[in-house]
Amino acid sequence: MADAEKRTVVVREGYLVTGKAEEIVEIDIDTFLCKGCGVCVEMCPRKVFEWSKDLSEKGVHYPIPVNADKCVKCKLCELLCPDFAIAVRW
Amino acid sequence: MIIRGDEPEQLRLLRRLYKPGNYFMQGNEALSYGALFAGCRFYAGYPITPSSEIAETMARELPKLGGYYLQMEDEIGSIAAMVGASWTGFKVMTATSGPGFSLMQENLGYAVMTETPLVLVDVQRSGPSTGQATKGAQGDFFQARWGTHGDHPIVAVSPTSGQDAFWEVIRAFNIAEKLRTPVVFLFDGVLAHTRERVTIPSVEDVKITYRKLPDNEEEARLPFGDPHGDGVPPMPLFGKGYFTHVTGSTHKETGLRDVYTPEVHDKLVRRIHRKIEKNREVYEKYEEHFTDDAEILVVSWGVTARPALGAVLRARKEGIKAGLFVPKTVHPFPAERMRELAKKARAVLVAEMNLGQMIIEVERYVNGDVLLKGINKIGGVPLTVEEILREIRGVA
Amino acid sequence: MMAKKIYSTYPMVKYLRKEALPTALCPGCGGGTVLNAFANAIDGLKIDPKDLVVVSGIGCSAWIASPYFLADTLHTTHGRAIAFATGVKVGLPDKKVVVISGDGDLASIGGNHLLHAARRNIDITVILVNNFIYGMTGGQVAPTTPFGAITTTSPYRNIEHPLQISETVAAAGASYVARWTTAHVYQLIESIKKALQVKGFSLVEVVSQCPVQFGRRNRMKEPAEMLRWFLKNSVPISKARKMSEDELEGKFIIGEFVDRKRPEYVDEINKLIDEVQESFGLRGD
Repeated sequence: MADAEKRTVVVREGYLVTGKAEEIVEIDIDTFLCKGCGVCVEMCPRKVFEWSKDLSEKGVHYPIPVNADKCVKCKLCELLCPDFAIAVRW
Repeated sequence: MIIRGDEPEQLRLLRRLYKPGNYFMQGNEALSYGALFAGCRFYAGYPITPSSEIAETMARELPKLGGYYLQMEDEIGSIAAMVGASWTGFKVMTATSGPGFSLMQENLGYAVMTETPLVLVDVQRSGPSTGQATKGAQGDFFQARWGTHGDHPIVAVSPTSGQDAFWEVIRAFNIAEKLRTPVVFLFDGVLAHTRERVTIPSVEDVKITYRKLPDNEEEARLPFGDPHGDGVPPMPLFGKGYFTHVTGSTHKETGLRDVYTPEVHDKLVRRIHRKIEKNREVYEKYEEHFTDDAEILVVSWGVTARPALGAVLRARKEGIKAGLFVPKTVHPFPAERMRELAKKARAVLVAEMNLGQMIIEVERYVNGDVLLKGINKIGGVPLTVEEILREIRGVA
Repeated sequence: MMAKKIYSTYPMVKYLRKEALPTALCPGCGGGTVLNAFANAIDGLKIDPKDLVVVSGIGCSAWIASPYFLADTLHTTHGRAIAFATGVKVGLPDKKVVVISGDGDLASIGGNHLLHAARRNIDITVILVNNFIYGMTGGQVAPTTPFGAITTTSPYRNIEHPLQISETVAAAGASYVARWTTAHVYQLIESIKKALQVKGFSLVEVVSQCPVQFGRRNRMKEPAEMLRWFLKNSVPISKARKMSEDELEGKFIIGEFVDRKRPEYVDEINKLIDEVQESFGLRGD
């Protein structure tokens, strides 16, 4: 039963940016590997990602899983990512 | 199953199949049997006159020894398949002629850069281009040395008869394995198709070598390093769990590509050169006749060495102090010995079935006051004793 | 500047040569997705990379697995990867030999070797990444470039029609041939798994996005735009059969073209050796 009140918490640790949605999913982004191509942002059917405001060490905007609570675990982001930067864990 | 050629089962098969003794066979066949005795168990080739009999002999004999004959769709595919198989542990060979040799140059360079042992037989025929397909020549001397692009060393050997080819191909394999390098075997259409007596030895009389393998994980991690100081890295074969990376791009000692750091390229290419230059005793070989007091020195190679010897013998009978120098390893050229012999001579004649190629090497080691002349013949018919003798008399 | 410590928690990272990361592939390159799919296929089948040899040629797609995939890798000359792989497979028949390279490398300069490997039905798996352009050299036209497309050597429009690689290889004798796009990543993974398990020559042609060289010159500079273009223009084989040639112009036909059993080359050559040794009475003593 999807409840619109569930929130996503975004945590950063070193290069990893994680969107945690309790009891749903945790999505990690490795900003060292990420090249900012935008495939995950565009292709996610649930619009889980938003572009970061700041630039990563590489000088690109990177995806932040701000709406991880909407994730349906299709793993399209994880599989399409050319740089192995995304992990969808539950 | 990878076969090195010296396993007890292989020796048993060789003994069983090829009884020692005298046989009447053409040069191509003698060369093929030599390769089998050397441990060659993988041949990937494409037919081309005048080398096709080598492919045919290998196709017939290799299955008996548990070896593989592959007929590839072209010469480029042939040498490619060879390199692939060499990295699994096989001793590999292919045979071709001028036009095919031209096609193989890119991958020959790849074998030099990746330090892959293999033997490439070029049965030279009259060129350039399609030329006289069925007639022998010696026009690929410098193609063997510089056919592929970039700074690269090459080891090339050239026998003077079918019998000699038997032993020289074994030597070629040993050089290739010992120095982890491709070796070019310069044969020619005359020797290839001439039938003569060839003595097949007993297996015990043939000594063969296998490439250096890594002793431990550390050595396996550096397939392009120099752990022993001799310039030859151990070869971590595929299929052993080493996760070896092999590339034709400039690479570090680990094998991984690095085209950005100038020092890496310098180090790699210089080491590959040093590997050949500093290991002369492994490949240098030449024959001499009557050179102690030779005033007229004839230099020759391959098929032409035979009428050259005949001419020198006749000249001696006529009182002319002639001598003969025959480099068996033609690349790198035996510079030191050439220089020594040229010092003692008044005239140096270089006899070959081309318009003058080995003479360009000889010239580098002969002083200006010594007369240097080429005895050249093209058209597919070998030089005769008379033709060479005439030249010797001419400068006597 | 290459890191040994990789922070990504994606389990497939264990299949990569960490010291070579990040990859040299452009942002959004479909090649990266193919590497991802390949890792997933290997993982799904529980194949130990020690039982793999990966061979590639020259071009961006040849870089997908070499050096990034952690296995014995052979990076060869342009067009010849399949010929090298033939030698490797005969020498190591018990290992899985996989060729991962591009359309220019395998179907243009290397077309001859591709056809004959299919004809021989040698047990190697070829993952042919088709980005319909010569990417590494700056974006020149390729034998797979769509009719009318703009490239650096077809600056007005391409006057040639593309080669239908999968159909050609199927006709040449391959055991398994399939075509997918990088957008169809789930099917791609399953297809690679199947191709790896087939005994015989298997080809998985992957239509892949090259946003920097192709997309940018053909009004699709974002990788996601190209992926949406793939999805919009893909037609399954069953539907394509009922469409006319005009209707199929510019479309990608996806699915499995061939899945059959034929005598396999390495089996045959080893069988021959057994026969010959038997008939000459050479077995045992």
